[in-house]
Amino acid sequence: MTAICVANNKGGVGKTTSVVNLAAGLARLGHTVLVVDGDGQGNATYALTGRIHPVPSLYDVLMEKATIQDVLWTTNEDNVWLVPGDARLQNVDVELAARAGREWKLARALAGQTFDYIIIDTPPSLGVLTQNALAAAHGVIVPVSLTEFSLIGMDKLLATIDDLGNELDIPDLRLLGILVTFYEENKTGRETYGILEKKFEDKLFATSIPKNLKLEEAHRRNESILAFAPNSPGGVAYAELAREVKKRAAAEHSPYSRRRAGAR
Amino acid sequence: MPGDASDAQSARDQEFVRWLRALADAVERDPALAERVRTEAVTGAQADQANEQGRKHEGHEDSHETHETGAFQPEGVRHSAPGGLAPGGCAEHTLSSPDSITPTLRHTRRSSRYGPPSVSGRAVELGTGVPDPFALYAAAGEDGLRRALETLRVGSLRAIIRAHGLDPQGKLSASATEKRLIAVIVTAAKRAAGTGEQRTTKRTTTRRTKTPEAS
Ligand SMILES: Nc1ncnc2c1ncn2[C@@H]1O[C@H](COP(=O)(O)OP(=O)(O)OP(=O)(O)O)[C@@H](O)[C@H]1O
Ligand SMILES: [Mg+2]
Repeated sequence: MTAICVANNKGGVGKTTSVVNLAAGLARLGHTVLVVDGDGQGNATYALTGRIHPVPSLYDVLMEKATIQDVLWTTNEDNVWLVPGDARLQNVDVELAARAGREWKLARALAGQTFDYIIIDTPPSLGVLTQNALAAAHGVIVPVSLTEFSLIGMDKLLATIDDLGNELDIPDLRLLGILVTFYEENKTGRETYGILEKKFEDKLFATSIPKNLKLEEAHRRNESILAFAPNSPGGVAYAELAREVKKRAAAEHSPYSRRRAGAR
Repeated sequence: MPGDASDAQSARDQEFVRWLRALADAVERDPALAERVRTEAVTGAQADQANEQGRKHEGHEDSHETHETGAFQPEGVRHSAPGGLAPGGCAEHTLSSPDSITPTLRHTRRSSRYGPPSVSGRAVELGTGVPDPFALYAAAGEDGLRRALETLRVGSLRAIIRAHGLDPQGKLSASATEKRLIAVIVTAAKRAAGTGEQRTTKRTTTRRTKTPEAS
């Protein structure tokens, strides 16, 4: 089992879109996938089920009022399950502030799950929710939208993930890859991509996600791009990303339970 | 036809429908416009409520540029001139007060990016996961089931049809509309209720056995 957290403290870079479509891609490769909606916006929940801020949700799990099994939903995608998120997650930073081991709540709750993949969506911040997601994950995917100012803050983000890994003492948390999103085949796109390639080398996923309105449309229809438009540029890219993630995850596999057994 | 109230009404309705389609097209193409329309719709709804009594829908100057008929000029309260948005064009994005469309565009969630339209009538609890139309029919009747389904989009409706095996011959085309999908689901639920047929949830059943349980 591999748990993956998709994180970037920048908003609108394609985190949720990547969570939903990567999950669909992995499911179509024959795997069982659990999506955890760790964002109080509940966008992954909406995309996969059409529901808005359902209760109970991950919030109740983090507050130890429910277990994962209590909030395990089927979704619009076969072989993809969901732990939904609702708006109360936005209060988690405050509500868990004084609790010991607050970063480990999710990891503890997920320990023992036997899905092939767990993919965790995060809010555009590095607060307690993202810390929980990191603590529960083996690997982090950082989507970077190839728009003009996308690279600003990248180094800081990666350093912060590193710091959090050290601070939380998660030695096997690693960067699974940097994922280029909103890629456009033009001068700016190529140049920015070139910079990223030079800087991150093989940490950059070979697959990049093109800017493609079908992805947005799929979201609104509450379908994955692989259900809605598998042959669209976005559909082809996310199917390819799933294969790449599978390969990377297999190459660096580490058993979930060993690390989480020590979860405080 | 001048003087014919019902003809005028239906022309107005058609014009309004055309405008909504054009708006939908434009919104689909342009996320920034989508955001704006949504924000304005919500603000408009609030303003609408606050001013319920005093407000006069006076039409918008610029609506005449794009709607020669002035067909959106309201006498009613709701369908007043959305103004400024050229049907089929929309390049300018000069959308003025969209309070007329708040009944359909009002969103309930805080994040304005995604959200289904609100549906009038008492909300019907959809339950968790892929909804069970047979249970919904039993609990809330045809109207209730319909209302519940109308809050869902294509992806969720298709999931219901797949999960409950409602299209065994695979006759539904990939482009089937939400209306068509809802009709298929309602018909199946009605038929099952009529025949007292016991329905099982195909996908949920197979999934349960496959659901990785906590060990
Ligand atoms: N490759 C793409 N091409 C076009 N539109 C995209 C693409 N990826 C995502 N989008 C759209 O961009 C918007 C933002 O994407 P998304 O919600 O995935 O970002 P996010 O990082 O999760 O945002 P947030 O930080 O607010 O949670 C959405 O409307 C989504 O449909
Ligand atoms: Mg998101």
